[in-house]
Amino acid sequence: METTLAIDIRGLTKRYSAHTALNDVSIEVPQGQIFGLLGPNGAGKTSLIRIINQITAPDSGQVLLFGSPLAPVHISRIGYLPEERGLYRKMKVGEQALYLARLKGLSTAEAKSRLKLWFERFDLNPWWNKKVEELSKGMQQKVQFIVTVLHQPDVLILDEPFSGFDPVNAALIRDEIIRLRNEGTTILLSTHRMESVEELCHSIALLHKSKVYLSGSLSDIKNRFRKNEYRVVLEMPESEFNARAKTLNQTFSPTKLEYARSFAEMEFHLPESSSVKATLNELLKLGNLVEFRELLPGMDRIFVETVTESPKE
Amino acid sequence: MNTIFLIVQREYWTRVRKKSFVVMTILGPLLVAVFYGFLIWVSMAEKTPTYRILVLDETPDGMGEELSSTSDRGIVFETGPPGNLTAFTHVLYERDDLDAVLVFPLRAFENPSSIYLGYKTPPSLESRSGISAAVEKVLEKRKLAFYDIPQSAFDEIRKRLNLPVRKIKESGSLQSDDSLLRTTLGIGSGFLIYMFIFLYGVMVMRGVLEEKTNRIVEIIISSVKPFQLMMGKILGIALVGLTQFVIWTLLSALAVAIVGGILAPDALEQARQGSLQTQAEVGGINTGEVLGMIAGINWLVVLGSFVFFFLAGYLLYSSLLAAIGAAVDAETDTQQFMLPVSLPLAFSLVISMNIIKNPDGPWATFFSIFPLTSPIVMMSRIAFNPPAWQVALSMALLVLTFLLSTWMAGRIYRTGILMYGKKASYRELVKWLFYKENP
Repeated sequence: METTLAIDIRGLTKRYSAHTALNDVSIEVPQGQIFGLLGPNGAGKTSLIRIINQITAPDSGQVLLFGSPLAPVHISRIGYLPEERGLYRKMKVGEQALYLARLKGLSTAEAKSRLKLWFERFDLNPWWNKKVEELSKGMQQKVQFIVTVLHQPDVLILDEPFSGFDPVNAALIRDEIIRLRNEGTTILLSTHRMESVEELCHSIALLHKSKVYLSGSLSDIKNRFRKNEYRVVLEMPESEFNARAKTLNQTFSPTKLEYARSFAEMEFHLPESSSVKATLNELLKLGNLVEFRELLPGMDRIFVETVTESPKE
Repeated sequence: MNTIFLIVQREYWTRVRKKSFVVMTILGPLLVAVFYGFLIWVSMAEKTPTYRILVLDETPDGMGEELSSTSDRGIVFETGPPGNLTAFTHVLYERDDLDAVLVFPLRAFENPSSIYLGYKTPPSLESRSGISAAVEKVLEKRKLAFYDIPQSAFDEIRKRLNLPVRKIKESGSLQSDDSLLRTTLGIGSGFLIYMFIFLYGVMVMRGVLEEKTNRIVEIIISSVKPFQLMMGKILGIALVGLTQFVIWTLLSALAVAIVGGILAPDALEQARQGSLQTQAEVGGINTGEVLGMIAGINWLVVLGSFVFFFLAGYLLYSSLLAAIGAAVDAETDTQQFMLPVSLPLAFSLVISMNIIKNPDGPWATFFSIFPLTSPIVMMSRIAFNPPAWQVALSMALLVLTFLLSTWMAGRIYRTGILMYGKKASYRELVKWLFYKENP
């Protein structure tokens, strides 16, 4: 089944005087997903995001939004939460939120009624008439988040949305992101927090040195990086473990072998030649098998591996 | 266009409602009033101290007795008992209220330079000239009597002429000379434009810098074009400036009137009489003629040009200042870019003060057409009716330049506001001009 692409980035190149920020970058973001945009600092993420937001223009290449090339009409369909974000410090919270919402094209009445709901939901109502500088950083971030989503954009671009939040508020924002996705919003999430990526993203693209190094669904990528590593937990008395430890070491050459409170834990690499079934049978003979699973690499590891093992230029 | 309006609105309202704006707008005229009041008060309160002089008259016909004390200068002459200088000096140092001895020797009339003042307390310059005038008066009377000249004839001879200066028109009709009014008008409006450009241009720069350091700018330019944001700010602040100037003008006039009325009706009356006197001396200008002069100036042209040069000059400079604000990270970094902007401004003010001597000279003509100086210099010339083609050329060049400067500023601004933690150089600014723009 062909899914519509929310954002279709084709061969994007952007050069600045000193360096190339994007080098022939192509990424496809399907509609209604949370898509992770990863990459080390300076990889070109912000440049890419600014092009999608029509803040800057590419030197070559094209971005299609829902099938049509970027145009000013798209501005109101995108909500953008930049990484470097702030508010007018001396302006009142409510007034400022209204102003930013009206810049996105909402009428005053519409913006007001929507803001009421959001302020309610985020417990910000008492702060409506306070100046921004009186708010804590977390509260300012909440206001920024509200302003980003208030005009109900089809595409949300969130650059490090969790920075500056305590765990409680980070969870609040995460729930809102999931809710928005469930309502059909496409979300481009740029972050360095790999646990958020694992938790939220369906697909990702990893930018490095201005190029796409990895892209695809999270499960595909994890499959690609699987190392045939397994984790086993066997229940056995300590005396038996001591007796069998030598055999285990010889058979599996485990990367980890521990015994604690009547459980033996082992992690090992299974050579391509041996079958999982045979190994499993062998393990069953050793004791009461309580866990047997393949260890898929975490995004953290994939990220580091991709970035550090990339060819030096 | 609607978004520009929103931005203008915000820039205007947030500034006009600020405490500092309200305070400055109210305090400005108050300061003017207080200053005025202080001046009047000082001139009134400063009582001239009495300078008491003992007159030692050795002349046979009592010249010294004819000296008349002048109370407004605080000079009091006192004829002493007969005696010699030694006795008089003794009295002078005995009595605390005496300041000096004025000696008329025996042959004072024949040899006036033998008259002298011997002081204990040195006389002020004012007292000195007052005493001198009093002695001269006595001598004058004596001489008139000696040569047998009637006082009235002498007064007639002494009457001074102030050569009337008039403008002669082609038709031969005469008009009052109004160059003083024109000069005042020229320098005044030039200075006003200078103030406006500087005050509010810098406000634009600060505003841009605030948005940049606040990091709100990226949120805003994801909804509006950077150029719209920049122009919205420039226009909004122009309105703030206009508002403040209108309020200042009204309040200043009101305050001066009130303070003048309460504090010193006498002083004002005095000043009025004084100025009438001087005017009568200078050339016999009366109220009718002043009105005639005012009517003689083409106010439509002057006001029209004022508004034009005011706005065009402000647009030109504020766009450059906006670009500076966008190019740097902190206000302390603005210095290196401020110089090329503030130099022509300060320069044109100096030029405009000097060209008044020759409002149609080559320098005046050149700088009133050169776009960076024309807003101030042409405005200073405008009351002197410069040739129409020069005004037209000056205006056209200014419009072209501000179009160019806003274009350039827009490009520098666009790139600069998103550059954090990097100090821009002139070379880089030039590069920014040619980055690819959004369709």
